[in-house]
Amino acid sequence: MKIKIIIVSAGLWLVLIGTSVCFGYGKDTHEEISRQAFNNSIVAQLIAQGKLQDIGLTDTGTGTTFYEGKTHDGQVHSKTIIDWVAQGGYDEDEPFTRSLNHFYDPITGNGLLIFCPSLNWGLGLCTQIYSYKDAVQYYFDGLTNSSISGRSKSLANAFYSLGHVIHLIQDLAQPQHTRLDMHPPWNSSLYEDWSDNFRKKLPFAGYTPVYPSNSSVFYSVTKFWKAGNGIYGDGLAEFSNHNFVSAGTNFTSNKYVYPLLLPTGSQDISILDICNPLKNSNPGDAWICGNDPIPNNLLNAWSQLNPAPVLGFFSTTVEGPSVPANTINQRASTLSIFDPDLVKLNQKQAFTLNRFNFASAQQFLIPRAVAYSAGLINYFFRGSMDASLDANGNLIIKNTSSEDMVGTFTLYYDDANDVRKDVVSKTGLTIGTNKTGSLGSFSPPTSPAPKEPGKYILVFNGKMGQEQNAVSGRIIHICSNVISDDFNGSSLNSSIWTSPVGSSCVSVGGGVLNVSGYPCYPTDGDPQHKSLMSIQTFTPSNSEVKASARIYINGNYQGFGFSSFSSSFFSSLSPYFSIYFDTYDNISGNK
Amino acid sequence: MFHISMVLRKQSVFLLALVWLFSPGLASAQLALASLESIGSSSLGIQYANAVTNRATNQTTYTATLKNTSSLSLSGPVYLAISGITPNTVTLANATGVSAEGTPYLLINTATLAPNQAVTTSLAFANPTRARFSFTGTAYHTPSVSVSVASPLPGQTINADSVIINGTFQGPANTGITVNGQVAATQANNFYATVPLTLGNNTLAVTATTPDGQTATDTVNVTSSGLAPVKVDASPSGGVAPLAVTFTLTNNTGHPLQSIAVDYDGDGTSDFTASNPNAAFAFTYNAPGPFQAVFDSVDDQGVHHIAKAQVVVKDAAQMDGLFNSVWSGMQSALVGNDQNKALQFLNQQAKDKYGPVFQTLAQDMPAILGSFSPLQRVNISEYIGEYTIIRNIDGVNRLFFIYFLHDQDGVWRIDSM
Repeated sequence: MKIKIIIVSAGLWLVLIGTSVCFGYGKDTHEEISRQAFNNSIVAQLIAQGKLQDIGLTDTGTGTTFYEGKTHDGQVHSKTIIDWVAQGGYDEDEPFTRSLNHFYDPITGNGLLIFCPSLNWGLGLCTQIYSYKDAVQYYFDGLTNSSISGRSKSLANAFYSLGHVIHLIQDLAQPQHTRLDMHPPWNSSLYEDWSDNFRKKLPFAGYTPVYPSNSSVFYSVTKFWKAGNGIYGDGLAEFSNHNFVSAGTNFTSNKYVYPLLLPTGSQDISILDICNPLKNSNPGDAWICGNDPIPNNLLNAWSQLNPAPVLGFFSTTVEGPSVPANTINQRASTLSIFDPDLVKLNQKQAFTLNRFNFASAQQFLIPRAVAYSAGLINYFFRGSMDASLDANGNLIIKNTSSEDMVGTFTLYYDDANDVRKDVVSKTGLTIGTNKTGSLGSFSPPTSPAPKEPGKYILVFNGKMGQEQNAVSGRIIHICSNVISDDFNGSSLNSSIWTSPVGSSCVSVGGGVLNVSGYPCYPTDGDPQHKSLMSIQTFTPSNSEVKASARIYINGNYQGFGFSSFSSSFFSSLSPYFSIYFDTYDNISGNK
Repeated sequence: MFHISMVLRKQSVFLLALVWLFSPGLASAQLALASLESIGSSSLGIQYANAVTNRATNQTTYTATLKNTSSLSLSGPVYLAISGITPNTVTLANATGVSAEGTPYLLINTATLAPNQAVTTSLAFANPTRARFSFTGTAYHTPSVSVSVASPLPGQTINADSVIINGTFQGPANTGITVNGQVAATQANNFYATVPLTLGNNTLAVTATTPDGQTATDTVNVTSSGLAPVKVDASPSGGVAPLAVTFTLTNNTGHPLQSIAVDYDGDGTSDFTASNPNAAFAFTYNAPGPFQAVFDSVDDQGVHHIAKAQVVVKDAAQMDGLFNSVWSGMQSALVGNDQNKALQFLNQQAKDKYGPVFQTLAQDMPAILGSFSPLQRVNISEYIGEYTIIRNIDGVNRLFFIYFLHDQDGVWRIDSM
């Protein structure tokens, strides 16, 4: 029996080899959805805010840094983060044999034929190098590799792999992939080719990234595929499997119970009314009529017919834990050309799918393809932590994420040659959400010294929530004894600010206050306080001629105004403090 | 190549061996066996019988029967080449001619050899010493489909991660072309595709497939040395006129591009100049034809970088004709109650779906098809032909969308209706 199975498998491969399979959405469509997803992700927000340091990236924070890495074909590319994600989304179907692993039936857990179910493929349970597991490992190496080129390559791979994984998520929004609807020898998918034609105009918007907005459901990678019982749930595979037909499972097979046809049967809709917004409100109709109009000569010809030609549409209910009640897909399926004849013979109808069915389904599926992909990126980077020194010189880690972290915390820095070195590490450390833990005594390294004094990379790897091998990173600034001058001036134009010894956290020159440091403690919550993190270079405008500083020690306000501080005051401070700068409009007096 | 080795022992003939071989293509004005397609034993059976040696003339004759054992027609003419005659004192006396390779051959049949059809011919060998001899018989036919790569050249090094490949093909209407499994665009008897390259050596396998499944292949090996300094992608790269195409430029030079001159239709005249590589590069092709858009970019070092994108624009009326031939082919077969033939016009998924429907409605099919209006074109894109027909059923004018898909072998087939 074993031998027979091998023979069958080999025979199947012979059928497949040499065949190009356009599985899933088209590669260009995947790239487009991946870009949309990325732009809706937390990473895009961090880029917009200049805060990529929050996920441990040492670039400018603007997302314009190029990471050099290799694509699957061995070609060396230098790309930005979003372009690596988009490239991964594009390349997951290359070579085509990868696409055989892009199917997942949430009810049975099966993939296509003998191939790996996409859930297992995405998790890295089948042999491949661009899974979620691989992305985590690449990310870890991108944060910790000693060489700058190694870090660049691994970060490229991390984002490239994330693109590969969200490609799988996007395929879950293609019902053929969750209803195992492919027929050997393979042929193209009309739905996919159709989507590819309109990839720039697909209805991407309209659904919030599912993580963190629904973090109680999507608390593990698996949940993005299957969150319920397989038949009904918030997993994207469950949603598409339960609610949408596919070309080969269009009410014609007994393979799936759902979706159920509404008992109203087919509804005849005039083709002349379908694209008339005054007569029809189905959003898919409006979308497709606007983006791919039916030629006027045809409409004119049809308008001459009496009665006007009609299409017979079938409707279904769209269901799910997060779907509003009584949601109807008015264009679930259509009467096939032979159906009237089959009905007369009391035979089962064949059904068919056309542009209106596709457009209607896309209104539900494409926004979710984007939102689930963005959600997975958000989930990947959900780890959040901070660090500072306590009064005793111990390095204190605070878990600012919403899940407990159990594992290894390591502090790294880059020396003058960009060689990344670890300073202090602690394994087996458990830090609950919003709790702190200590890495022990910390002394700034001196041989070699950090390239940028006070700048460190905090990396966590271990269990976070349900994920056993999570990784999180953050650039932190540890500013101990950084201010050595007194503060007896009242104007930023004065030259009393000097660069502190051994640190570049705060300096002044030419009337410009340069702040390269970061708050050593979270902000006090006042939205009008500009934290140091967001004031890389602070140049008062003409109207902002007054400025003052607030010093917080362990979160408690200690003083106000430049003139109130003296060197003796600072010498008495704990190294664990935050500075907030307030500026005032000299005309209005507003802060 | 199907070889039959034979040994003459006085008046007896013994079949000794069957050997499979394959030969590459070759073109020549003289009949070149290498330019023909050898016919394998799974497609053509050759039997030799009735061996007779005439002691007066020192001539040995056989009757050779060639039978098409495949399910496909073998396009003519069909030849039988006789090689490896040993000893060399024996020669083929009734050869039609001698091939460019120096092999004597017989013209067996000028017409197409249908499935199960057999033809018989006589072989006469001059054998002055009446020696025991052997030979190899190999059948060839002129393929109904052929394909040849014109560019890139074999062994060429490509400084890019993709290459525009083009060439020519011969075949019946609706012959499809694929390159490494990727569907190529066709224009008349030319094909075009832009295919990705892996770093290093690449084999580009071009396959032509006829609607009835006959194939021909040509291959070329090239080497990719890495990314192109500047790359340009066209979207869509094919469709019917008027075709609006947008182009995307990727700059891998490491230097900013200061100017880009674009010759969209490849006529040697610049149509557009931009200083911003992110400018909107768009052009509408109003006439059918193959076009190679040329982007000449200059970086801040003053270095020119040429990047090209292939666009193939088809004539909508011609495509109407093609789709109508597919549609009418299915209908004719259904009217003739030849459901297997009708299914040949459908892709696999449609076969699975409509095969049982054809059977169920077989008796009523002539009347059903009689109610179909002509196909009306809605839209033609690179991979989809979208049409409608109307049927008046019980007083209701019902509209149905018919979809043709560029199948994975490049042949257009009916997908849904």
